Amino acid sequence: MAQIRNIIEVRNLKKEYKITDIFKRLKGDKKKVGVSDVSFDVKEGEIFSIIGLNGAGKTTIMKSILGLLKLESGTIRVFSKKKLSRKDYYKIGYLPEISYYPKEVKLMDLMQYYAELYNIDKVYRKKIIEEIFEIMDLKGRENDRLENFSKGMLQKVGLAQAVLNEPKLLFLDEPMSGLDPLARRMVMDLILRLKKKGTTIILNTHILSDVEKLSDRIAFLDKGEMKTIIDFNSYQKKNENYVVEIDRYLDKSIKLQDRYFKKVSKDDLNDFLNDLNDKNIKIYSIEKENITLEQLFLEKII
Amino acid sequence: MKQIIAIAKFTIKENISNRLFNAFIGFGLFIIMSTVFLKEISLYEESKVIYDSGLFLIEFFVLLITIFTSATLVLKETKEKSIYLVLTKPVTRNMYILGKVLGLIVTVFLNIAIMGGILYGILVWQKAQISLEYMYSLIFIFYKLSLVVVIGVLFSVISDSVITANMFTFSIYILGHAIYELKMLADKIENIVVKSILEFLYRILPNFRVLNYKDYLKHIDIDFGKISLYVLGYLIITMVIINIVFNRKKI
Repeated sequence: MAQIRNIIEVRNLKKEYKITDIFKRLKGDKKKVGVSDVSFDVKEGEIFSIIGLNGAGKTTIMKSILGLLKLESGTIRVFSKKKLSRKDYYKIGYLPEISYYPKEVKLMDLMQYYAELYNIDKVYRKKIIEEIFEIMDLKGRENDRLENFSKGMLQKVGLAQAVLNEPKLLFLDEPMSGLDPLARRMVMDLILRLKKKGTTIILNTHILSDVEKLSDRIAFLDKGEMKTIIDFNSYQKKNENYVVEIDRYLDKSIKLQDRYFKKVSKDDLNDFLNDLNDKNIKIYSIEKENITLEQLFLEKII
Repeated sequence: MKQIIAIAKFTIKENISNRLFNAFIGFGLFIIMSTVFLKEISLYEESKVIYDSGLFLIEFFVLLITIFTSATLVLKETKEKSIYLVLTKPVTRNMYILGKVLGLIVTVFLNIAIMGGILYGILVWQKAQISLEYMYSLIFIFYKLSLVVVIGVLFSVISDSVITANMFTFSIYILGHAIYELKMLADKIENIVVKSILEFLYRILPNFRVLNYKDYLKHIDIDFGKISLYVLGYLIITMVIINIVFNRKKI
């Protein structure tokens, strides 16, 4: 089987920010850690999510990969290159966490502008913009000025410009921010459709349920440090537990009303059931315990 | 090149869509049209009063717009981070700056052309004598304000505050007109530090006096080619400095 190549390789990434607050500087705090000694790879075609609390360094990592920040130390290779050339950006799409647009400009003018920056052919430009507007539910708003758009609508505009060039590598920083449930569903569908087409997606988001549904691998970031990277599906399979409902107390079982519940790992389940049988203990139910990403997040980060 | 033109086109579009910008243009046009009434209070050469005050107002209003847009645009985009949406596309920092400056210079040209056209109409209506001097005056205003564009963008790239960027650009405009006075002052002053500063300013500031066609130069034989080359040279050197600074700037 052909090996999937790494589209991004980050090694020992370190980024610090100068503290500009004069009072903090007087106290001796000159620099703040953005990220320290972060290393990871992103494989071609996968959805790689980075999760962490506010200020954990998620956006810093994205900006560093995109070449927007100068690094203190470490190396980043994108498309096997140490420095992205202008041509490489034809294959990249980016949705920043906060994006401001000239509010007095019309939506269509803004999209045409971004399409021109990607040097998209005039005829194809029209077709792709129409297609994206259709997907993003922006149709009919083409000639509206952006000042009349809600936060959610502007987020859709941001997403539209990020996928305009049908990128091979897509960076989405908080793509669900400000979106209603319907729009969130739409964005999730779009992300999955892009993945099907072979787009590699780096995702930063706070909404763990979305990460859980979308991601192939998840990186946990805490105060600038990479705690762990997991394949959530494999993790769930590997750490499969069962909750067995029984009629009497056993070691470490939990009582709920007049029933007792005992957690058993998948490997020990058979032996445990045999043991119950031998002891003549009544079994009411056996249920697979679902580990949620939220549980795991709390365990790893907090 | 296509990206530079796209940025320039969008910069013009942004300016045209800007309400404050339009208000300035509208007010400027209104004031220029009002110069017709000046002939009522002037004692002689009524059309010359319209001509002179009209040209002064064109320079004044376009200057205000130019300082505001050039000293604000890049700084605002950097502060609001909307620049990320451009620099993560196949656009280098140099292309971005070139596009912005080109867009701003074309905007200046359009503003002068519109206001100059209106004034021309008024002068024709008032049966004033119009010679090639009028065209020269407009071209020299355009030269002068093109230099203001690059100076504004330079301060927009250096400074972290819109207010200081605007103030510095305006100060350079004033000092650029007083360039010979600076030299005279430098020759008279004995304090070596102040003398050196004045000498330095005399050497680096744009000489707006040589571009003041409407006030001084029309009575002198001028070398149009030489002055054009001076403007072009100043534009290129300033652009190189802007690009060096902008490439080092943390955004």
